Amino acid sequence: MPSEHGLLSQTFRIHQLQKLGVNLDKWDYVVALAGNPNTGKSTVFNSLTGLRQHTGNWPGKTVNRAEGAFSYKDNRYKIVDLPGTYSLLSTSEDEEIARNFILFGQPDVTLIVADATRLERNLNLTLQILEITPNAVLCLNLMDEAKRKGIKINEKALQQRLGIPVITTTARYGDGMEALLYAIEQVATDAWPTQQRFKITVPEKLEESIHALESDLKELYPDLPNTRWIALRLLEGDERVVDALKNDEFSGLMNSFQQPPLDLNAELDVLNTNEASS
Amino acid sequence: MAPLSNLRQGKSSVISKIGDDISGAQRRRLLDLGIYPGATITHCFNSATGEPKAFEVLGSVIALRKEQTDFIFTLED
Amino acid sequence: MNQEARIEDVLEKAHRFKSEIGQSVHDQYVERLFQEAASISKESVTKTPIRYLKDEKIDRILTSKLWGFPTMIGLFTLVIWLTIEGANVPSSMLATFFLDWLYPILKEGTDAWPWWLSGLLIDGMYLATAWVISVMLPPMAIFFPMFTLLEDLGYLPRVAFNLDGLFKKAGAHGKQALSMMMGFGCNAAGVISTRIIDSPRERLIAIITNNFSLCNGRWPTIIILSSLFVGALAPAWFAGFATALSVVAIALLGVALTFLASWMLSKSVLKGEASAFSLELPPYRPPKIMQTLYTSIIDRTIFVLWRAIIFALPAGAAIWLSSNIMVGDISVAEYIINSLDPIGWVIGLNGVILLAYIVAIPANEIIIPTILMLTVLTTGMTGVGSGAGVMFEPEDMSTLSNVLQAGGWTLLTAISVMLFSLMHNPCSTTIYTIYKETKSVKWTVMATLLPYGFGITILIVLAAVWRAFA
Repeated sequence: MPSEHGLLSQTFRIHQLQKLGVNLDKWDYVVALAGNPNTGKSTVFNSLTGLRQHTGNWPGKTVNRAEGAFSYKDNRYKIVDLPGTYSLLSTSEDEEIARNFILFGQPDVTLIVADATRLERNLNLTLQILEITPNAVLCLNLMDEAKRKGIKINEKALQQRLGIPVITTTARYGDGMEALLYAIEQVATDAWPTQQRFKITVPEKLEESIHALESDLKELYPDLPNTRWIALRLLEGDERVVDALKNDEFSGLMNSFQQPPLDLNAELDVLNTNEASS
Repeated sequence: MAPLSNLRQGKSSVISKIGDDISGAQRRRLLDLGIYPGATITHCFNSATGEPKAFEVLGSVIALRKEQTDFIFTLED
Repeated sequence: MNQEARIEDVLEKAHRFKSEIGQSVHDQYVERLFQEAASISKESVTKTPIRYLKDEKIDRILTSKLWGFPTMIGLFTLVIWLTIEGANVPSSMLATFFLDWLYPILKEGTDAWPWWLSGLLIDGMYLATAWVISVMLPPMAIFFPMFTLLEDLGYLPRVAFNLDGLFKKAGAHGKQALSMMMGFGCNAAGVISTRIIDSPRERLIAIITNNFSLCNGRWPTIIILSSLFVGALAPAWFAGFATALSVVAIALLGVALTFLASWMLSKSVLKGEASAFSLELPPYRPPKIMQTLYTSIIDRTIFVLWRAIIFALPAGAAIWLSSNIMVGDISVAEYIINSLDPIGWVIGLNGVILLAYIVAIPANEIIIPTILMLTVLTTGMTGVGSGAGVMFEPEDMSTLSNVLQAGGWTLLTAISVMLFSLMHNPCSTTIYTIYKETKSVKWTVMATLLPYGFGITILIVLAAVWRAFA
């Protein structure tokens, strides 16, 4: 039951930022908020929307999508807080929610919140997202901790290498939030020069297979973005992606993104049948 | 090669292989946590009951059960 | 070629490629990702710390063989003790305000109304609500912020780390420790938090056993009965601590039952081996005190309190009505109590307590007020409260104690009520949440009835043994 206007609402104020809480009637752009667990992702969400999602310090705290809104300059943004995940490749429920939204929800901007003290680890998820979409902003959060630990990050070099805006922040004190908003606006309004989608080079044999499958997928679904990613999932034998393809879900998912219902029930049925047969 | 469960507390080593006994979602989960061949891993401390054990890899401390550490292999020092 | 055939074709091709490459596609890809990440981070990060040494020093103590469990139990006792000690004064202040000051004013103001209307509204609904607020608000306003501070610090994952060995033996997931601890606040919240467990089998175990975490609605019952019957046995200076210890004992029994029930489930209807476990132990973070206070008071305390009030209103009305509608010479309440008495006796309780538990199915919070009110009614006591069906605030503990003794309570009754409070059905909100999360009537019924299996068995044995030796 997060309240819209907190008693102790974050004290920082940014000119032209209006925190709209859960006021979601209409928006110009959709921002997806992704990141590893415990990177201060929910703090960023709260700072932008003025909401007060509680952020406990244990992994997997946010198990659902939360939505909020803010307006900056002339535009209204809907921001979707995705569950914190290490990756988009496994098949747990939270990762499923996160990856489906980034993949099929087609957000205008994917804001990746990373722990500046553990950049290497956080880049794993960042690179995976960049393989899916180039419309992203990297928020290097927890800069106060990084400074205390004597870590220096060359964000210019990082920006160059990744091809997306890289902003350093300490969200719990509101530091860097203005620059972050500006970067979000740049990417949302296409003012940021669009880069080529980031591509991880993989061993040759794998690359060839991906390529072959990709062209088949493009023939099947001409509008499907991220065919490379789906091809890779098929090669891995990801059952959920295989099922999605079998049931022709991709065309549906593209039109209207729906949060997948918690699929415990289906799995319980499986469990029950196993039990019955054993 | 030695199993990670043999790594003494306070010691670091480099992961060389994740055994085939760990497969499917479990294998993926470990890889995503940064437990991949080439990563440096340190045995930090143990739980109050001795198991699971906590390891540091890529700046994070991660608890693993013996069922997993027996099949993750590190280079001998 | 139609769409379906083309899809089949793609899948078949993918399968063929996959076997050509070998099963390690994911391995290859992730390895490349991390190599890339390492190279990028080498380029842009000028200094990488080797280890979080300070955190590790704390962890070596908090997870050590020597200090791990004592610290957990010690912190737990400390939180309960502070809650008990701290809640006393504000609770009695609230009671003075709502019952000694506001209640007479309301009664006077409604003097002209028909007796049954002011009875139903003021003596029934108002008093029930007032009682719930004065008893629940102070302990919650202390307990939740302290719990949230521990949560924000990062202590909870350490508890899960320490308890994992036990959960593994019970065939359950180590993360069940986290949902169990969330259950100490509210079982419905605990049930929702089981979503962090991937394996459906282990998640179900966590859902079904969550009710053994003593929730906020049940803490006050345990605290009050402990201070009346256990604290009172100790010398005054030690009473608060003795009370805290007996409350902790009940909560720890709940933890033990969590393990036992999990083990039984994983050996029977939810058979299976404990799956893999990997849990990140996040760095300790200094909590933002003001924000913690805010979120725990607004999001948790007010939320739970509001729910209690909503359920207290109709319950208050029901109690008043059942005490004032007569069947022959006796009221409906008395009639039910008399017929429940023999069943109650077998499990060390009585008809009043059983009826109170029926009335309180929607919200456990109102158990004690209901018991007191019904006791006064059936014993025909005078000089406490203001008539049949009135929920009242005993001015001090001795009045309360007198009421219960008049109702035939012994130490056995008090202990039995505390145990029954731990081992009966979850509240209606939790039952509904379990249904929403499992989408299964079968598992919801199981989660609702399982606690009774333990509760009834333990209470029958306890009552029989107690009576044999007393």
